[in-house]
Amino acid sequence: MNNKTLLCRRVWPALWLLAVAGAAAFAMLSAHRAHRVAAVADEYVVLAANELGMHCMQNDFSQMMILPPFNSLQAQVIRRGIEPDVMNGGVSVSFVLPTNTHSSDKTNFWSYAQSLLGVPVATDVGVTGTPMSGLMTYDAATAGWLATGIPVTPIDDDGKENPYPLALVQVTQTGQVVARTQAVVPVSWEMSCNLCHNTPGESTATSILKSHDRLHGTNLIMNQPVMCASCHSDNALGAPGQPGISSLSRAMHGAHATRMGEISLDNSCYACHPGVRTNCQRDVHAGLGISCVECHGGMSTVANPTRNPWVDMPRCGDCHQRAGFEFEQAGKLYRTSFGHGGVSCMSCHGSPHASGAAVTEKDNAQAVRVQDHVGVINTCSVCHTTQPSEAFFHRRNE
Amino acid sequence: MNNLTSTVFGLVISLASGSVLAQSTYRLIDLGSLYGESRAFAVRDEAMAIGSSTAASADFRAVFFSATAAPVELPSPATERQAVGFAIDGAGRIIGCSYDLSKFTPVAFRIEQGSAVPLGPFVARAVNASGVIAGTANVISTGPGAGMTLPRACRFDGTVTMLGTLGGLASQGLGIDDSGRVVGSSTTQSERGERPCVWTTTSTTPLDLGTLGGLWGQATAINGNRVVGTTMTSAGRMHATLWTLNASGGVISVTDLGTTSQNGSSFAKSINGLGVAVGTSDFRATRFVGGTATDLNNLIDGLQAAWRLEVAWAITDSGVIVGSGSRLGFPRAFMLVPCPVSGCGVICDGIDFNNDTSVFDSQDIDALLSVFSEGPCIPATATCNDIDFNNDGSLFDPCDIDAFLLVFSEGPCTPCGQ
Repeated sequence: MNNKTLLCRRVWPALWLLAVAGAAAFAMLSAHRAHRVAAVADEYVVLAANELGMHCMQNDFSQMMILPPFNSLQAQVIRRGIEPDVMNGGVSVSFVLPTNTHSSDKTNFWSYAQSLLGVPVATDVGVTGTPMSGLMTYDAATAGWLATGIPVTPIDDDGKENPYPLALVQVTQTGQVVARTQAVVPVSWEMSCNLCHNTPGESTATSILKSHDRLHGTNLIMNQPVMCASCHSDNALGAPGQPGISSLSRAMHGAHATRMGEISLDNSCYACHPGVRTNCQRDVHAGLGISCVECHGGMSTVANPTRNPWVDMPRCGDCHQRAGFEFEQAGKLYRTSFGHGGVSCMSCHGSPHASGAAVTEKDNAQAVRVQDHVGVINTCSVCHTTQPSEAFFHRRNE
Repeated sequence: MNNLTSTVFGLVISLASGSVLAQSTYRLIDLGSLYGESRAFAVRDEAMAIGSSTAASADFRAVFFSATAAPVELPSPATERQAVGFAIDGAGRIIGCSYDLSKFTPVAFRIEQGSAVPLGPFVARAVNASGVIAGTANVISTGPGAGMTLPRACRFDGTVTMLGTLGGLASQGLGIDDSGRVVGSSTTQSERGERPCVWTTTSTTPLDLGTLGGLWGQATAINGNRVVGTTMTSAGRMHATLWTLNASGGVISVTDLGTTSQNGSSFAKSINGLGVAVGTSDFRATRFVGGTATDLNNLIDGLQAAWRLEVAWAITDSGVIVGSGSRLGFPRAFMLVPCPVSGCGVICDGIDFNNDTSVFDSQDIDALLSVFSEGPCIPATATCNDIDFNNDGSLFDPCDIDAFLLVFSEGPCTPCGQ
């Protein structure tokens, strides 16, 4: 094969795909522009987000459980106007994951749920009773509608992996659809414990349980399936753990902090958190080359016994300082804070780990649809029917 | 009908159905992986199955599997990081799609003369004998939900035809028959779940196939006038479901294919021309035939403890099954080949001398050698008389010696006494 032929074989497919991508991008922009006119006339806008930006789970629960299938979606409904209202009732909000509609054919969680949790869990229903689709519940604390504990897995119905399934959120009022949006409900089981726990002839879980037994004098190997949070407290599950035993976060980060040199990853967090394929850190910071540890600190920092896991988290104001701007509310995290008249920070900025202009197309879909561009939802006309005359203040609501 | 006649008639009937049921056990074949996880989604015969596997980069790649060779990575369009092989057409051409996890635009491809030929921006999930493809494309809505990128079922026969919905915004195309009818699911106007549906070749408007009483359902495969999938029962449980259609796509009957446990769930993924369906129940690979759901894990000659068969994704008319399971807790593609009536026999490489659930590895050799030293076996906590060479539950008996000797013949083992 001469160079010209080789070049053609390489270039033409690339050009074809470029053309397809270009056409798709043009179509997307055209459609969005066409939509903008309609959006301005809508009475309501709904903005949805996932509260963590990534939920991890396992695919196999036969031996142990770190995290069950558990995901969440929250949505704020805003009645547009000169002075918009954040709704607290009068509408129904539903969700569906159109390409990921069931889970009990994708994980064995429900076969072991009773052994692990002590209570039966109906198949395709999460540990809080939330199914894979249906109505969301109004929650005053978040000033929005919640679906908490959706048992979604990272496998689409067609069988391929998809850690970023998109939920379709729909708002109805007296039977009429008044607003819709899309939001990623991120989930991954790319927890690569097997990078180290890879004893020939043993499952990764067996290796982990044996190591725990050897190092801590337990007998987990004979008491499977084991729920880690039955001894180690875990704020992610609301599990109190056992007195005198370190939290799961502290135990995991502390025990492994000195062992990460045994693996060679550009981002060693992705050895356990998803992952080199999933890239769960995908927000505007990722696009700027800011890595996990620059916000969260290293493993020893995360393992600090004085830290309260899932509560003591990085705050925007730790780095961002701008005259006249305020960030998280006192005692609250980004994901639970409000500003700008009761609007959740996430409604405009997006999910943690997917905030701002994410590097992922799906995470940007909501912003692109309502304002024609990626990034923070900062276009006044998304919610305001007239351009506000006063200056915008990035202030929190105390 | 006298007693003799009825007895003979009954025997004939049982023999006829026995053409399927006689293949009551299977030989398990580990299809391997490139570098980690693997899943098999389609099969033509023992020599050709396809699916996906992670590569050293941790990305999924489309893979060719066979019963006798290591898996081979298939070519795919180079612009996307992930790829999967989903189907095989009547000419043996492989259909798949490549995609990026975070993006909306997958690329369907077909392997032709060793190269991946892009077909368009959709997920190619199923193909019929003549090469017509069913799948799902992401489209930007210009109607209700304007500006949203939504999944919609589609048919590809050289050009992509977008298929309609049951009043909702989203749908999926998951199966296709040789006449070109597509099955899948669609949301309805409430957008609170999906309904199972079929798109005939004369209309892009789907027909609701109905459920077993619940609100939700999804059709996953069609073969002739039989459609399989899963629907919610009136009790709110997911049950594998069989629909029988008339020529115009109308539903003649809806049948509950059952589950392997009383309160379990089940999902049918494929059905062959003889009406044998496969899928999963309680996340264990399952065969649905004659009104009975059977755990395929219980039908394997010499099943190794390291394995758990989880989902059977496809079955051929000759009964070869492929799917995804767990080997030592890790996702792994498998193939099941029907055994002759006499059984397949114990497979040598299924032997686990030291009972550590890892089949025939170096530690098994250690355990084997320690038998002849008459010293303690390795690991030291084991004893020689714990060894169960043929995995029959009987410890270190003459049949174990048979199994042991057969290892060195390098041929398939045969069950003791046959």
